Amino acid sequence: MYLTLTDLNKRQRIAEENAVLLNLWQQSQAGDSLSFCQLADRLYRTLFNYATSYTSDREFIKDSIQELLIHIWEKRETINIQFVSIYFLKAMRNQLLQEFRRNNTARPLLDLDEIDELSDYQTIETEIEKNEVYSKNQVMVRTAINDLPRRQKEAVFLKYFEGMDNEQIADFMQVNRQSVANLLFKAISALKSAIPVSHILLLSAIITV
Amino acid sequence: MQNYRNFLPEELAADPSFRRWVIFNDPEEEMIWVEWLHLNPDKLDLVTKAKLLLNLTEVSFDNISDEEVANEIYRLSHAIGENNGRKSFRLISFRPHWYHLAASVLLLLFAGFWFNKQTATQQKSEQYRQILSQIKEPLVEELNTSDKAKLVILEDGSSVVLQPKSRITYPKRFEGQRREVFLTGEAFFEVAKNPDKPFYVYASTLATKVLGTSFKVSAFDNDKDVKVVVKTGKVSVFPMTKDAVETQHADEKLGGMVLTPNQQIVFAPKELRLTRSLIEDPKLLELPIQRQSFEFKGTPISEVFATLEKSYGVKIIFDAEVMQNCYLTASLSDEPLFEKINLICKTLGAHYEQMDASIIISSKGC
Repeated sequence: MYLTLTDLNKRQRIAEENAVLLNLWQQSQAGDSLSFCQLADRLYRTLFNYATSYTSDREFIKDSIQELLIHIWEKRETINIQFVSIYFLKAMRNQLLQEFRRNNTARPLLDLDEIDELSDYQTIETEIEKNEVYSKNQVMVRTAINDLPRRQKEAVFLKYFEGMDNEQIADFMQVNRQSVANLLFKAISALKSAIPVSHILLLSAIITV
Repeated sequence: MQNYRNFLPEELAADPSFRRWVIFNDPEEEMIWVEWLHLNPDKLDLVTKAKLLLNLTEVSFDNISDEEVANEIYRLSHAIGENNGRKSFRLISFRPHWYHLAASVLLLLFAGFWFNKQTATQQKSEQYRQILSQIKEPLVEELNTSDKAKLVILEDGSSVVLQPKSRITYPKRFEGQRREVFLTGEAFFEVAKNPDKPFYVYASTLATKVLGTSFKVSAFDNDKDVKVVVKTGKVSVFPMTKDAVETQHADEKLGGMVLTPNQQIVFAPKELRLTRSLIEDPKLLELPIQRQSFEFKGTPISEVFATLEKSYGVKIIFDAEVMQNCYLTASLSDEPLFEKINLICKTLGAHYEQMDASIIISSKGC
């Protein structure tokens, strides 16, 4: 009945509704470290995957997330949050930008202009290939997504992985709504042309609803 | 309900209700959408494309395993629980206060990758969380992305020769009742003997328990089956299920399936079945380091050090001129690297110290 490309149950277990997250956050604010860990558990995948559009250095990302979460925990009493995942994603972006500046020379990281130019495809792809055998289609889409310019990739992530609407994305990326629409339009067009129609049809034929 | 009939696939994929159905398998939304499709059978193509887009982006952006997330959350819980030592996560301790520990253990493990999640692997994931939650010390993670073997020294003096594309996670200090490490990929272990603190290697769907006699284990990832092969000594092997892990943790004896020399076990995770048999080809389990005999008879010390450098992937720095008359006659076998170095230094009246990835030998000559 369902299209099962790989196991999607990771997210099925986790309802990422803002109300649930907000409740955990409020308990965290009151000093409950266990709630904070649960909150972090629910947001971790989102933060990690978001960060991969900036760098392919997995260990660097993990350390950045640790720094960020510890920082938020320490400042919890003074932080006011409305939309939990958006707040954490924004904080994640700031954290990454800060770390890039700080580690400019120390780490073999691309600088921000270069990140816009280059795709993370090669390194991430090799990392992934080591661990998982993907179907041809998955590889194709993964490649297509990773080949998108970074801003388009970020917009696609926020829209389809995170489920934000265009207004939220515009606010998050600090551009106007029309720019978001343009970014998404270009990205979707690129993805459509990257995936041959025959594959879509082939897949469609397999799926029965 | 919105008029979805005029939606494009990319618009439908962004719809909250549709997302709750496809991504979170929400049963209420499912009813709504099955009903909608029933009323709009011509829109099957639209729904299919939207689902495909959503599922593919979901998969494409997903770059981290459950196990890694669990590990990181554990790291976090420790950091915010104690408010100290958070900078020390990646420090690797080389303090050699282990060498009072006598014999050692050889372990060669070749385990599965962390992405293959079937029934047993799901259980494994739960068990990982369970075991991780009981470890109170900060975890250190070593990943070998190079194409050469990499040496990792554990706090108890055990040495691990981590093969390429492999990862080991272990506590900075072994404070609890057990010494527990997590392996993905392949590694060669020489475990320092300590019967009071069993050594556990959790690898993919299989756990291996070691008390301290000398032995060698090999588990290969082959069609998701995990294999353990014993050459000498005894080792206990059990699947990563809740019951098995609890029973094994309960005492210091070797329960479960005990393997003796020249026996092997094949574990099929899908069937949760262990099969024991004799090794057909003992050469199967040999890595370069295992073929190395470490038997020296009047061997020039430069050759001895070269052998160790090659086997463990470490740099040994010494003054070749001063030590040109030093020869070693010794039968070293399966003790951890630093124990070997210590024995050599004692024999020659030399001293050694550990600096980063090198060992520096100081000697006045022989």
